[in-house]
Amino acid sequence: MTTAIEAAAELFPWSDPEFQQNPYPWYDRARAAGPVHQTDEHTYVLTRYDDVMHYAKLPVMSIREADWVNPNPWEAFENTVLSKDPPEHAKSRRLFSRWFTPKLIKEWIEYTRESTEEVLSSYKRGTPIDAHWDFGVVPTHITMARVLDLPAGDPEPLFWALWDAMLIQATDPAPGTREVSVKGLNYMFNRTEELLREKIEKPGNGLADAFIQAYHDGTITWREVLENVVLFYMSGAPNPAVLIGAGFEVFAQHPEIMREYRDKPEIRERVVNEIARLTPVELILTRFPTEDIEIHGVKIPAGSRIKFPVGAVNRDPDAFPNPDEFDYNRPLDASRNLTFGLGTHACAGQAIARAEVTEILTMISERFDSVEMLAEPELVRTDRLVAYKTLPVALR
Amino acid sequence: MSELQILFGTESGNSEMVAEEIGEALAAQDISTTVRDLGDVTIDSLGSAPLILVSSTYNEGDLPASAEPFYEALAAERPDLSGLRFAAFGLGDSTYEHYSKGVDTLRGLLLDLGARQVGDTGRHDASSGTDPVQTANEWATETVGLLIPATVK
Repeated sequence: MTTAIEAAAELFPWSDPEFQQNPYPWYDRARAAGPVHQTDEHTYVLTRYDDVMHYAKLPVMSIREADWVNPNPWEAFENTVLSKDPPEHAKSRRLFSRWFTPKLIKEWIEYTRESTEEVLSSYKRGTPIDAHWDFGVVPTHITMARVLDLPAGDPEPLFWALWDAMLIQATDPAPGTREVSVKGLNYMFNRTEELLREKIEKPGNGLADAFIQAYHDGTITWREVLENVVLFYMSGAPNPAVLIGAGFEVFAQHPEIMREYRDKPEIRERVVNEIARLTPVELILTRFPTEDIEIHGVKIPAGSRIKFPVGAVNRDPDAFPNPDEFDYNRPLDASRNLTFGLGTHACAGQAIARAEVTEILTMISERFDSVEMLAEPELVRTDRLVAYKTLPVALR
Repeated sequence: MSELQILFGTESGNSEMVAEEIGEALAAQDISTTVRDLGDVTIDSLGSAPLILVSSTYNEGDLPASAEPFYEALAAERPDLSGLRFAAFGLGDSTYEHYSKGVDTLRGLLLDLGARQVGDTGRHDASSGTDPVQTANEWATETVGLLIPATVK
């Protein structure tokens, strides 16, 4: 006889490659079975849009892992927004929040445009190109490097170092993952520290310089400088790249959307938002309530782990009718999704990421008539994260 | 031409954007404005020209970063603002408990110090999915008429 907890755990086979590739049928079953599922002694999963949008952002939902959780190598970012609750969170976020205002993002997007232009200048129409690397990773990495005022270098080793580092965040990482993760983190930190040392010799006027200045002013420690700069330098490309890659797939599958995107600038934000809804990148948000909380009659003790699967929320049919369909005409007041998170820990790079995706897809739609997929794209996945590996296309 | 000041309190730049766009929209009606971040406004530099106040809300109903020093200075020194007229616009998100509270905190203090508010407090609700600039400009166009005659008297 299976217990209720065992039965609930079967609703979410986090480590099953089939689930990771297409979790939506599982999420549909789990949502239909109930709004809250306890899947082990400490873990609860919420499945419905309305619940997650409400509960995930409550002040009791701490980002800090409960005491029973094994220490995680991501404690390397202990001194950043990733690891802090309010009110400390505000101090960390305010170190950089004025660097990503709508006004400045207009300037930063010029870097995206220039670097995309450079990729296009050596591209011959109709020939193969990897849309993931050449349009997803390269322009967004260069944009962030310019914001920081650090040399862009080769984004490929950085991209995979971050991927490796993130592997440990899977629900049930394979043996040996911790070592791989630590190695990735070490690479990221060592590389960034080298660049920061060079920068101290040759200062500039970027976000990295602002962190160094805050250190000289005594506002933050050197460790905070390093953690923050690693965070930005490594995260400029990978997440936006998934949305950009998904945008190419949408253009290939729906040529009419590519034409509409080109002809109607007023729909572009909504198209990008619909790409984001259907293509979450960070796949599970996790919080630890600091007080006992009751959700739909389920008593969840303080210190439990609550998982909010982004895909379950973004395709809840009660919030998004025909949820698997790409429909950028969804009502404006019902277009909000969980892809960039919400509340205190909503993605700090959300506005620049949306602007980068919008700009790159605009350039592609204006320069070319169609996108042809040359092969099935290759992706890498855990239950926590997804990335393209290759996305071979021809632009005609 | 009338002189009007637009002061914004911002956390991540949305109120800054809205304030600057209101300035542009009013410029198109031949109303000259100066736009300043509340973080740069001292009590001495506040002046008596009518003003439009734009502010967001941070976290659980808190003031945005750039409005905090201004608020604290006013609260500490409590200058007499009885000659001042202002209109107010808030940016918020109604899915949060303390929706648009930041602008109300600032408004409340100005009123307490004798300033007079004209028109209704404008609000943009981020959960509506609409463009805050459009909402703010419509509000400003309606409200500015109430603000300016007062200075001409």
